Amino acid sequence: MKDEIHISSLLLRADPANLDAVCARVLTHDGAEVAMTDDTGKIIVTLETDSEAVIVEHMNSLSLLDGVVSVALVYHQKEQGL
Amino acid sequence: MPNLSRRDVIKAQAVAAAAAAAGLPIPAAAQNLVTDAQLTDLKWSKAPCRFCGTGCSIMVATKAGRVVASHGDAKSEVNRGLNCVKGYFLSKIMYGSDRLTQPLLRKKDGVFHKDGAFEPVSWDEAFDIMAEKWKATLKEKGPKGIGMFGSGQWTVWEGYAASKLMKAGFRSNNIDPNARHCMASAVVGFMRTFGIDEPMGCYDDFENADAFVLWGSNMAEMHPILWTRIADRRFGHPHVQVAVLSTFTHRSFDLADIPAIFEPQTDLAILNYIANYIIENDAVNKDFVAKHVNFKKGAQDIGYGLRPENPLQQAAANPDSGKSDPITFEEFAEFVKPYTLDKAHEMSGVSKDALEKIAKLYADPDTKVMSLWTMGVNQHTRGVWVNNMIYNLHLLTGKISTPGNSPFSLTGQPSACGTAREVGTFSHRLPADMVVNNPEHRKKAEKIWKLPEGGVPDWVGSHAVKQNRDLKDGNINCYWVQVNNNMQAAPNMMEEGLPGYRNPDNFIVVSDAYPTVTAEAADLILPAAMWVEKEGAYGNAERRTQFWHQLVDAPGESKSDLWQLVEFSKRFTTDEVWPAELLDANPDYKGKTLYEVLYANGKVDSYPLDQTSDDYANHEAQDFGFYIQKGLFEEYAEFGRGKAHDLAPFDTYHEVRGLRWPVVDGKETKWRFKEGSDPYVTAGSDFEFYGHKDGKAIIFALPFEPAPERPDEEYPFWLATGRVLEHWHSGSMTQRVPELHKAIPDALVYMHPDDAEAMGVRRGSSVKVESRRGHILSRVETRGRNKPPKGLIFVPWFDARQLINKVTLDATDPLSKQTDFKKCAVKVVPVGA
Repeated sequence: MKDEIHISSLLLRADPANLDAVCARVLTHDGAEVAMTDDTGKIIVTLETDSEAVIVEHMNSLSLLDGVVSVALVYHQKEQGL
Repeated sequence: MPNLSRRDVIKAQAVAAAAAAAGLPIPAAAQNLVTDAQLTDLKWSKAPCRFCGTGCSIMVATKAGRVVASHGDAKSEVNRGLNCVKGYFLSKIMYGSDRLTQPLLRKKDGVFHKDGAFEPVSWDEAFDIMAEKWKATLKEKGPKGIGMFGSGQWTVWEGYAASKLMKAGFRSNNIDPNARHCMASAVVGFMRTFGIDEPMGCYDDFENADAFVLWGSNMAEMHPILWTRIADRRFGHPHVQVAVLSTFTHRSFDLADIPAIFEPQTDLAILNYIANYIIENDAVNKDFVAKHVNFKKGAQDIGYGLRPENPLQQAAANPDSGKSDPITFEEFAEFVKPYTLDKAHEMSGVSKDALEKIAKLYADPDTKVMSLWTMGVNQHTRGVWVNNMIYNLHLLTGKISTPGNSPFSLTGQPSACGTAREVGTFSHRLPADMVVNNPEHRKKAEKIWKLPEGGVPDWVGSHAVKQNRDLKDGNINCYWVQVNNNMQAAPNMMEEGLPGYRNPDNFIVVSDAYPTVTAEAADLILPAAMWVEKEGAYGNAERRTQFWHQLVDAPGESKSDLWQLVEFSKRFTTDEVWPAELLDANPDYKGKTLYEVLYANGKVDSYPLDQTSDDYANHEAQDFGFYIQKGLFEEYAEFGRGKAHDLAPFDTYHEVRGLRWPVVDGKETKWRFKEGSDPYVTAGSDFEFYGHKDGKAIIFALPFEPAPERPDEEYPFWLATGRVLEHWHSGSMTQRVPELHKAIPDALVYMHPDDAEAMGVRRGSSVKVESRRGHILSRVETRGRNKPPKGLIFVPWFDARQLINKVTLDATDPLSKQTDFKKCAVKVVPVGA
C-alpha cells in the first residue's frame, strides 16, 4: 500500500534551557513538526510517516538528542490516499 | 472549516490528544482515540500493560475477535494517557507468525522419546504423559522430586492456583517464580527492615519529592512512563535535583544534576559513607529514631550462593547467614565511621563533590528524597544488604512514609508484586507474607484451604537457581515452567540450565505462547493463552491491583495457565499423592481428586456462572462451570483481610483503574506506616512499622564486601547485563513485533571507545565475549545509548541468538538467592578481522 500515511503525535520532555535547540533538531527529522511547546520543556511533535516502523526509528533518534529526556507516543492514525 | 484538509484535522486531533496527556491547555476532549480510521465498530476495554512493573493502564480495541489497537488510558492515575513504545505495540504481541496453537511432544516411533522431534498431540495425550511422569516420580522420590517454575507474569489467580496445586495438592514447596531473579532481594530487604513486604509510598511521591536518587536504575529506558513524571517534576520545579548513580552512563543521565559512575559493588561503601555523613553532620532525626527504630549488626562474610563445594563458598565464615544482633545507635555510628568521604571516593571512583552532594540531599531536613532502584540493587550478591542500607538513610533522617519521602523499590514484571510476592509463589512463602517454616502460618493456610492439619509441608523448597542445579543433579525429575523463558534468563546456562533440562532422567514441560529457547529445551510444550485472551489481575509496584476481562479468544487449542493447572489437578487422587498417615487420620479426604480438594472445594466453586460479565467471554469459567477467577480471588483475599493486606471485593476491580492495598472500608492506602494515611497505624503513634511486633523498623550495620568474581589479567572486563527500552526481558513478545524488532534487531556489546581501540576493533566489529563458563559472538557498539567507562561492558539479554547467560555466573545473594547479573569477569576477543 504505497499511499499509506501515518500521522502520530509524540510528547517530548526536554530541558527547558535547551528548548529552541532541541526543537531545531526535531525539525531535521523527515515529516516532523513541532506543534506546541511550554516553558517547562514539554514539546508536542507531530510525525507524518509512510510506515509505523519509521515512527519507532524517529522515536529512538529523538530520544537520543541532547537535551531530550523522554519521548512518549500518544496518538497514531493510519490513513490511505490523503 | 472549509479549507481544512483531512490531514489537518487528523493532525489537530493528534495534537489535542498529546496536549491532554501532557496537561497542556487545549480546548479539546480528544480522549476517544481511534488509531485506524478504517476500523469501525471498535470495542474499547481497559487492561494493564503486559510488560514492566509500572502498571500502565491501556485501552484495548477489539474488532471481529482480534485486538486491533491500543493507547494509553487517559483515566489511569499511573500513565495518564501516555504509552512507551512497547506499550504502543501491545496489540501486536499476540499475533507473531510462530504462535503455538497445540501441545507438542518429543516423539520417536510414535511414543515419547527424550531425543525425539516435537510432534503435535492432543491435550489428553499431553496430560496423560505428564501425569504418568509425575506419578512415577512422586512414588519414587516423593514431593521433593517434582518442581515448578512460574512467574511475575502469572495473573493473581494463576499464581494462587499454582501455589495451591504444588503446596497443598502435591505437598511440594519446590515452586518458585522468575521474580526470584528480579525482586527477591527487595523482598528480603523489606522483610528484614520492616517485617512486611512492598513499598510504603506510591507514585504520588513523584509529584512531591524535591530530590530523586537513582541507585543503579536506568528508569529512562526501563520505566519510561514513570521517568516522564520525574522529568515533569524536575523541569516544572527548578529546585528539584536528580542524582543518578550507575556503573555506566545511560539515558537517565540526560536528566542528572548529579551524575555518578561508580566501580561495581562499591554502592555498599557509598551508602555507608552517606550514613556516616548524616551522623557526623548532626542530621539524624533523633526523635524519629528514638521512637521508631532499632539498630542491629548483621552477620558478615556470608558467601555467594554458589554450590557448596565452590571454593568461594567454602571460604565464607558465615555462609548464607542472615543473623543479626541488637546494637546501639552509638555502635552503629562507630561501625560506619571508617566510611569517610576519602574512602568512599577511593573505592568508588566517584568525585568527592558528587558524593557530598548526594549525601546532602539525604541530610538536609528540608529536602524530600525519593530513592529509586531495581535490578542494579537487587541483582547483587549483597542485594539484600543494599536494600537495607538504602532504608538506613531514610530511617536515620525520618524521611519515609510521607509524600515525597520515599525509598521506592521499582519492579520489573507486571505482577511480581501482585502475584509472586503477595500470593507467595516462592519456595519459602505462603500468601500475605507468611512462610512455610512457621507452624502458625501453615495452620492458617490449612484452615483457609480446608486442608487437614499437616497438609502444607514445612520444608523450604528449592529456589530458582537451586532448581536448575537440582535438575542437573537429578534431584528434581519432573518440572513445569509457565509464562517465562528461564533457559534464556537464568545464569550460567551451559553449566547449569541446559544440562538439567536435557538430563535423560528428567521430564520438562513448558507452557508458553511462543517457541522460546526454554520451550525448545523442553520435552512437552503446552500452548498458552496470553494477556487479554483470558480474564486476569496484576499487581504493580505501588501495591495497585488491576483487573481485565478476556477480550479475545486464544488461537487454536491454546489455553490459559489457569486452565492447564486446574485441568491437570483432575488427574490425581489424594491416595496417589498424599501419605497414608495423613489420609488415615483424615479419612474424609480419601479417594478425592486434587481438583475436588483444591478448586471444587465448596469455596472456590461457590460463585456461579451468572456472576460473570455478559459483555465478555471467560473460557475457564465456561469449562469448569463456575466463576473460577472470582472464587480463587475471594479465597486468596481471606489471607490478607484484617492483616494489612486487605483487597477490595472482586467485582470492584473490574470497575476501577486499580486500587492500592490495603483497601479498608473501600478506601485505598497511599502511604503506609504513617498515622492519618494508613488505617493500621495505632492512634497517637505518628509512625508505626507494624510489620515488626514492637512497631519499629530496623537499621542494619553491614559492611562492604567484594564481588565474588572480579576482573583480572585473563578476564579484564566487568560484564553487566540488562534491558533496552524497545524489548522486554527475553524478547519473546517484543521481538515478534516487526517494528520493535526492526528498531533494535540484535544485542550489542556496549564498550568504551578506548577499550575498543586498544584491542583493534571498532563500532560494528565482530567480537567474542567469553567468561570462564561460556561465550557469545556479538558486535561492538561504542556510541549510542549506553556509554560504559573503561573496563566495563554492557550486553542486553533480549536476543535469543546471542545468549549472554551462557557467560554469566550463577552467584546469588546468600539471603535472597537472587542472581547477580550485573557483575562477572569476561574477556573480549576480536573475531575474524
